[in-house]
Amino acid sequence: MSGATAAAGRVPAADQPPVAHRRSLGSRIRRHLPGIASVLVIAFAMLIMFGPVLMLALFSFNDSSIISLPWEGFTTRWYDEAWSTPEARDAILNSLVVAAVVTAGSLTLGTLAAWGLTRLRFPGRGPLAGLHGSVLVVPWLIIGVAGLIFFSESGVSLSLTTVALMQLVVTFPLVVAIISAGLVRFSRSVEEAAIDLGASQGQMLRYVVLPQIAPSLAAAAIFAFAWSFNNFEVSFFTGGFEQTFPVWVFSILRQSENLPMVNAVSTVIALAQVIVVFAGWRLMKRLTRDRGGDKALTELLTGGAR
Amino acid sequence: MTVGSRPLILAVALLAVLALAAGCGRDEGETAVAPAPKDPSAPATGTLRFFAYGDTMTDEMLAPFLKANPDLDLQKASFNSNKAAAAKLAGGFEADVVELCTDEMEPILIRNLIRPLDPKAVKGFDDLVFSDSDDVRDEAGHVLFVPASAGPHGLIVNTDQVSGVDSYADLFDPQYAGNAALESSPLTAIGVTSMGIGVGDDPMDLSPPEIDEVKQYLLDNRDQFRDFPESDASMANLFKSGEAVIADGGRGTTEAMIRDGVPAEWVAPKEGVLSWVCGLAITSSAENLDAAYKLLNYYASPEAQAISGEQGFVAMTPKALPLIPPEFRQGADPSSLETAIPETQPSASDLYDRAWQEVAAG
Repeated sequence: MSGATAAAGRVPAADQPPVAHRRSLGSRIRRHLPGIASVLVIAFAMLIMFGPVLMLALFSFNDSSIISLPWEGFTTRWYDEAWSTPEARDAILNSLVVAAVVTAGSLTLGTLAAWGLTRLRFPGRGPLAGLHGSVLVVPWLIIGVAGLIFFSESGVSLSLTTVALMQLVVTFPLVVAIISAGLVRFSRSVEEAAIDLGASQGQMLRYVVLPQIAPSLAAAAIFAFAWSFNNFEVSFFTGGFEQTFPVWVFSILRQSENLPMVNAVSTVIALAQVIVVFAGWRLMKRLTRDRGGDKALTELLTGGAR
Repeated sequence: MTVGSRPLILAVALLAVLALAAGCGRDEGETAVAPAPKDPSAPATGTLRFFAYGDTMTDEMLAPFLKANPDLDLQKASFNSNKAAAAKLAGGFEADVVELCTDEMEPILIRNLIRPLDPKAVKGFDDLVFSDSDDVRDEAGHVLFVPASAGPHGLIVNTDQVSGVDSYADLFDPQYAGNAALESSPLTAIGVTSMGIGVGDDPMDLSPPEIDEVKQYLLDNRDQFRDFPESDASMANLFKSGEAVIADGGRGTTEAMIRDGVPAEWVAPKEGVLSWVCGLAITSSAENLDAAYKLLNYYASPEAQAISGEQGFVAMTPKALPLIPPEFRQGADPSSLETAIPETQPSASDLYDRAWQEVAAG
């Protein structure tokens, strides 16, 4: 390096404003580019995921039976119509009852199964775990018809009970998968430490294990409820003369005039589901004493399986 | 309102399920003609299980029936296609009365899931539109179902931009290039096109070479069409947004558009009007035959058909017309169906499906 060049290299940046400015801008862009790109990607993904739902909500207030622009004016008549339709109310109530039963049942059975699969050692544990998972890849249509044939051959009358039983079959493996992930992440030595310190099995479960897998339980509950509530195939084939919400929706969509009413009901249900997730997030914050809300929400939505 | 298109994948899945149900489902039930009630005037009692499309068994429609039969426990279950209904019935689900539609009832007939009925036990049966059609009878001439609802299928046009249209051939008029629409249903799309270009004698039963010719014509003119809407709602959207100005479709769909302020008109093409036809049948596992006949009689009555007419369907008996409010009377007039061609499942229905699949995929 010549002396002149070396001297030029030592000139303070303030004396070279254009070059320094360019470098500063470039480095600033480089520094912020990942953040900007992340925001854009997230915004795009949000638009793709939630755009249709938002459109649905928007058009549920449009004073037209055709779901299309131009906007014909604000109205709540589709909500009034939905509320005054007994079949809609009955179907939603039926779905809520079935989903509540399925959620409680699958959480109980799923937690026990997950505990056994992750904490106990016994011959055939691997195949048994695979058997649990296999239900997740069988189409619900097939499971629904299989359930129908099973109940028919057994002489069991189809009803909401048979719907709940078959939905339990398809939902339970999901709960096992989510809670198993939470249990695998949770070190067993902590449980042993609790026992060593004098805790009973019940106390260990109550004060050590449950708080740790609470995000998994909450996530499993939300997914189980949503799977059950939104299920059409299993509900259609294993249901009797009481219909669930998705079955009711499919049965009335033959007439396009019913679409705005379905939009209105779906908007309310989507809103309710958002409120449930939000309530779950608040509950998680309380249970995990986590002041960082984002972490609690992420744990909730990933079932604590990060 | 159309019985219309169902996604092909769902259809294939349901057929697979039907095969599964056929292999493992219940034994076949009774297939002899269902005996008429001994005392037709007695109110129905016991439990009646009714399996139909949701809009067939609305509260408004069933209220008079339930009022006349206060001791009857009516149980309702709905489906969204006859394929799904067939799969459920074949799997062991039991009902007394089931709704059939001529364009999709084959899976139910093949499995003997219904039994013929005695038309003499249904008052006014001969007055019903399509009651003399071969499509409501089996090969032995037994009546399979009571026609309960129908809807003509012709052309829908935007009255602001289209005039002088009277043929399915107008769907392919170059002046409407890019602004025409064809309902995404193999049966109607292939049938309507065949009538428009003059291929074949029966649009519901084209031969394989005729289907190929129609398919090729549609492929060659695919750019003529803005879209192939899957539902009435999508069709209405296309007209409201101005993307489509001419399409094939039902009169019920057109009337719904007009009620919403869309400048539309339904046209009966000179080649003939198609019509979906649905009706009520007695299942082979029916237990309460007296109540089943009571329900069939109710749906065939002018009173029930008047309610159906007010709900946007065509009344199936002209005797219902005086009972229908004037504003609904024209749309409900069954005379529009007098020369209609019933939409029925073709003998080569799989070729119709495949041809349409190729056209829709481009």
